[in-house]
Amino acid sequence: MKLSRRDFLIKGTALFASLGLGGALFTETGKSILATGLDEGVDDPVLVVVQLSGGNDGINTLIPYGQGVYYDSRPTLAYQQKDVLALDNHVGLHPSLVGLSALYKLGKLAVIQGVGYPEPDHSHFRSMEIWQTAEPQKISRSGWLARYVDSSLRGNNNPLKAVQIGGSGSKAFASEKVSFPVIQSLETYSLIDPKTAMLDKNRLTKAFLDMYSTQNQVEQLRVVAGRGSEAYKSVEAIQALTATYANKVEYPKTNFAKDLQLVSKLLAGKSGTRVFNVQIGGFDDHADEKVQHAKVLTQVDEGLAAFYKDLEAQGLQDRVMVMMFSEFGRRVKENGSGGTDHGTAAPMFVMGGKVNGGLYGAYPSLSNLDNGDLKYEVDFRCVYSTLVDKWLKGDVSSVLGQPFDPIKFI
Amino acid sequence: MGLPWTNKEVVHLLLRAGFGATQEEIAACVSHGPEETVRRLIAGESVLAQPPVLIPFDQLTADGKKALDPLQLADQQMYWLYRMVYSAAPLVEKMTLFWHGHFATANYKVNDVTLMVQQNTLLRKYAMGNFQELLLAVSQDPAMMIWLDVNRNKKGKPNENYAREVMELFTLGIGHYTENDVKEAARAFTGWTYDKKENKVAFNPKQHDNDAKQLLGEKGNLDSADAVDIIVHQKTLSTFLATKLLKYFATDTPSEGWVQQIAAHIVNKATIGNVLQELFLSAEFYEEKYRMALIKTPADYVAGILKALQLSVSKGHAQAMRKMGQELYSPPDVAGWRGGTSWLNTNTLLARYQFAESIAKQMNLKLLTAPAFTPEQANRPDEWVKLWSQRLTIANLSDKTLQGLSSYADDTIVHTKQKNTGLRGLMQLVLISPEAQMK
Repeated sequence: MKLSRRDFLIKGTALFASLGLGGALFTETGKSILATGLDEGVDDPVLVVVQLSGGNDGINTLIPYGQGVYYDSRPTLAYQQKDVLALDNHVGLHPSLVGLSALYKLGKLAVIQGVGYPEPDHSHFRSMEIWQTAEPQKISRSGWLARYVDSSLRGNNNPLKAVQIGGSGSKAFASEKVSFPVIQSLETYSLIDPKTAMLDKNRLTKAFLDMYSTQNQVEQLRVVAGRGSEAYKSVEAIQALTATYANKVEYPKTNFAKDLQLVSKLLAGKSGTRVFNVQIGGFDDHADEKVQHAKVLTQVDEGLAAFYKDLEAQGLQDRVMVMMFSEFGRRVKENGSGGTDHGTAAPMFVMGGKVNGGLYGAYPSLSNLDNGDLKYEVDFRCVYSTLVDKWLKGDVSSVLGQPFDPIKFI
Repeated sequence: MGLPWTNKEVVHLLLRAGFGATQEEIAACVSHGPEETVRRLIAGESVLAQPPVLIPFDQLTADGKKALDPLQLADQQMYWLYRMVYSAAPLVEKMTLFWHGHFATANYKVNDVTLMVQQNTLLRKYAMGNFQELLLAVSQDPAMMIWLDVNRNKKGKPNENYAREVMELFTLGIGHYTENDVKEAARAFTGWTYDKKENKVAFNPKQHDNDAKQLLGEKGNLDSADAVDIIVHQKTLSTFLATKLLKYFATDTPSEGWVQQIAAHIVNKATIGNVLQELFLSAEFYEEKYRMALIKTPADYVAGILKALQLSVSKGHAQAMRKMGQELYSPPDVAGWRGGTSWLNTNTLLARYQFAESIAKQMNLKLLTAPAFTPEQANRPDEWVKLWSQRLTIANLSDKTLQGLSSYADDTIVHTKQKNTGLRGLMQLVLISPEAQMK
């Protein structure tokens, strides 16, 4: 075969780095020729944020079974004391949360009660945004996790240092400077069919990089060019992962569990990821809530239990901490159709080998309400602050503007 | 009107007010001029003298063989995509999709494909009609009644779901109503029922709360029509809708002045069609800075490629849209698809690239080597790139993309004896170019 000058350049990989093409191509083995730096941070602490979308009913998650007013307010939704997985004499977990209850007993689960923020907003989207940006008072364009990455992982060039798992992005990773990879499965995470012949693949990749270089690109195309080249970099990094994941633990067949297993695979492959964000929806129930709520909580519980077991099997449980929240809880009183409407404060959960398990904060009063809503006891930013400072060893003030009172779960 | 009217303006309009265009349609619109082109789009008349006829659902076959099943979601998704590609009234489809994202009803809760299609038919009927009539009809649409629990909102037993979202997401936006308005509106909306067995919507006076209420400052024994009327006449509604329409059709960041101008049309004109007519005939809409400045939705991307290449629609194409983040009849939550840069996360971008690759791989070589795809100066790589980007309805290629693609075409088409791989590669690259993601 006759080689053109460009083919020679593409085949002559040693020359490639000096061409300043902004990325690497692939060698005969399919490995990126410039893939390096992925070992960075492989022993550092990892945070997995789990978002329950739709407003999880906190009262039927951490159930105040010791209070009569709970039963008075929720004639059809209340769980009887015998069904509740008691944590102490006052509160207990929803009957579906069997796995979390076991982890609590082992001291691997912290439950922070009554978490919220001042002047709560009952819109899913505004409230979600408040949690994701950690800015209750004003509209912010940057997410709290993005600010953490920006301030505290500066100099870490790993394109996988922070990863959104699933199909769609989260405002927690919103940033004017960088976009973070959103990964749904490793198998489909490719730009060009992996079966393509090497020379063709290199030619296509070269043309892709030419088109998507953000330098000198016309203004209208800068955003898409930026996103495309970020995608390229993360694809390259994914392909450079060491394939060491051995499936030792059986996960339930739900999307949430699949997402958590993907976290585990990335960590096993030494992706060097420090922050993950995972979401599960299905909490926006206003009618006949009992069945639907139990169904989604079961998914959460089984997914997290399998994930924790998997981390243990890989010896990663002490490196990973999971924090779980929802944009708001629900009203104390159930509505007329066996559901609950948008409310305020709710519990948060933190799980991991290094967690000081137990109950934190205080359960909000079910009778001293604000227009039917619970009054929060703990600002969610105290939880964020604790995690950034004590777990990730990051810079709290650049993430939250100011330090918040730490909570002793770490 | 003094609008310049060349291929460029026509492509801009047809990418926004439709799902791309064929060469024939572009030529027809150029000769019609702006007023007639826009008139036809708004009226739902084809821009062609002899438009292709849409095959009805029960006569269309999937992937060349099987008949479609009306009860299968995937078949209904495919059929709607087929409409987007082949309807003679593309703006009607575009607005139907707009309202679908606006009212954001999803089958994963409604759980009844027939009702989803019933709502789709309703949205198509009112697509360019009067907003108040549309809102009232949607409030009593069975799929909506299930989606936001209208059906479960009874006297003395309010369910606030619909009352909240109707103000937050359908009409006013956050900050233009209070928590108390939500509670009062919920009371006003009580009494509507949907009987699934009979597929019948009815008003049951016994379940309606007849006591006095106060909504957005207005007092009275309000019922559901009163509530809709009060809400629709809030000043902020027109601004809210104008912003949403401009973001959908024109720019992610419309100026305050433009929003106010469109808002004034929303107040003064009888229908959304009239409002859009003003928009598509305004000089501002065609300003250079708004050209190719919106990110294509997955619907734009998939339907546009199928249309440009006149490919038959298959179920896999609708599934590809899902991977790109836009599954028909299944918006992510009550707020619908977010639009803008949210379409471009790594995962969904890769889904676009993979779709382009699959299209390029399945392309018939006869077509790829046909005269329509071969430039007159076949020894000039840039001519290949220019012709192909034009065939794929890209209004303008940046120099950067042109260079990158030309260099590829040079190696794989101009200077090779086996150019078939190169032709497919060029098609794939044009379809994954940054320009092809924009409209």
